[in-house]
Amino acid sequence: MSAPSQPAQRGISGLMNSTIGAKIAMALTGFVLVGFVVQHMVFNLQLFAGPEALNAYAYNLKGLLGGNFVWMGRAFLLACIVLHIMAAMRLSARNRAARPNRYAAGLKTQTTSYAAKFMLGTGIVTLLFLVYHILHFTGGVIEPDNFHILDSEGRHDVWRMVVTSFKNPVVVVTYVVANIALAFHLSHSVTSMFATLGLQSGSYRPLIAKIGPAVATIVLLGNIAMAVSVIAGLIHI
Amino acid sequence: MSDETMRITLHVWRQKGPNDRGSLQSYKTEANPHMSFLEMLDVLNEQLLSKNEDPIAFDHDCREGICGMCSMVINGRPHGPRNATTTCQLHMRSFKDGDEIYIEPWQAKAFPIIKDLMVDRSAFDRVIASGGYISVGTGGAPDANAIPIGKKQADEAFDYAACIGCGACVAACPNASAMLFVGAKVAHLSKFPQGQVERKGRALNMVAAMDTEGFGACTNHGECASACPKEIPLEAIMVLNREYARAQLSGGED
Ligand code: HEM
Ligand code: SF4
Ligand code: FES
Repeated sequence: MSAPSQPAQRGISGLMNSTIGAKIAMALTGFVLVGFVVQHMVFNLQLFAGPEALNAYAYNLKGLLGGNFVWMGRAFLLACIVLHIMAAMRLSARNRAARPNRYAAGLKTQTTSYAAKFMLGTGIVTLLFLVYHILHFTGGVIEPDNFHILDSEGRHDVWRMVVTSFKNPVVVVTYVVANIALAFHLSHSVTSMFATLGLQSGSYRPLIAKIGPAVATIVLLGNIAMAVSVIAGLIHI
Repeated sequence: MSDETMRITLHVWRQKGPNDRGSLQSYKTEANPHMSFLEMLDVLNEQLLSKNEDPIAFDHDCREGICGMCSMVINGRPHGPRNATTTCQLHMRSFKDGDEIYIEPWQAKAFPIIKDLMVDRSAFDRVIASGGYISVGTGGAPDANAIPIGKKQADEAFDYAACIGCGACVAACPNASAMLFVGAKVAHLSKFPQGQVERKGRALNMVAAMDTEGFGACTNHGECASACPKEIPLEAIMVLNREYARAQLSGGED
């Protein structure tokens, strides 16, 4: 029935070759990434509970499943982010090619938002920040002196590492700016994720339209609260 | 409303053919507030003809808002400033004396420009041919009530069937995506008992055809529905996404 020039339609290659299929891949991987970002913010808020809480949490997390849990988690998240970026690059290139000539007088958009227009840009800023953040607090490459500190129990002193870092205004500005970019990404994408899966439907539409901005605001406030509280002197060593 | 003649300046996209670069040209003209937008262009074309200049090529047919031919982007909005109104149903009273009006063709790779404001929308025809149909047995006319359809189903299908294939959704979309059009067709046919037979293949084939034509992907900007002269809702895209996922998950064969 289908014309011979049409691409493969079914299976994984069919999915990634189709615009809707690649969007589904982006929505599902995005769902995993958003889940990670939210729990990461929530557990890190233990910074406010002091060194014992945060260091014990970090120590226990790294010990789960004999130390394998974090590596399985990292591999899974890496796979998701690679797939997410592949689909994002593909679709963004396709969308640009779909309108080779712009309107001379410009389009007067009625409903879209800055967040929706700059998804690729905020995604790229998020990716760059992710690399910096992992080198900073996971790898200890950025500030090695704060990284190799143990607490009185002989555990990695995560609390002291973070608090010492956030005394540096340059680091705080980097974290705040990156989190603003992430918040823009989330504000459109979490709602868009539901739409891509066909779930922003019927009477749920207005409610789901609010989920993206709500998640983005919560993640933004939670994350920057930590950096800002340190530099404002609310948390000190 | 006054009947006074309006003086307007038009900036119209002129392009000699598919391979010409094209540019905006300015024209001063006068219009009566009761004229339709197309009548205003007719008058300008008469003036151009009387000066031995090439008239502005634009598409139109029914001039009553049902054929979907009168494609043009007016001041950055497909079919102009009024919601739920085709260009042929737009009147000059929507503008003011002294206004400057920009008129451009739909811009999308899948809708190549033929001349000036005319574009080739046959990509939509090929998408329809790939799955926008139902198969019925031939023979004597069936009894009108042979296949009962619920009122709600019939109403919903009818609302989606209101799509006139004008392409304003593609023109308005920052990605030149055809999701609203394809969604309207898939939703219309999949709501009917008669549309069940080819339901999964239809979703897969129409999406593949839409991709082959070079339309963009949906990033849920929502611009299409606000530009649609027939007010096809974004719900059409939700239905299309679900129909596509359903066909993929269930192995696709009908
Ligand atoms: C913490 C990291 C990230 C999270 C939580 C995240 C989350 C999401 C989610 C949930 C979506 C929605 C999918 C949909 O519209 O159905 C999305 C879309 C998108 N993401 Fe990400 N993403 C992240 C990183 C990135 C990166 C690194 C890039 C690019 C290099 C990127 C580029 C995009 C683009 C272009 C879209 C598509 C927007 C659209 O089609 O409307 N994202 N993201
Ligand atoms: S969905 Fe609306 S804008 Fe798109 S082709 Fe149909 S009538 Fe035109
Ligand atoms: S000319 Fe037919 S809809 Fe405008």
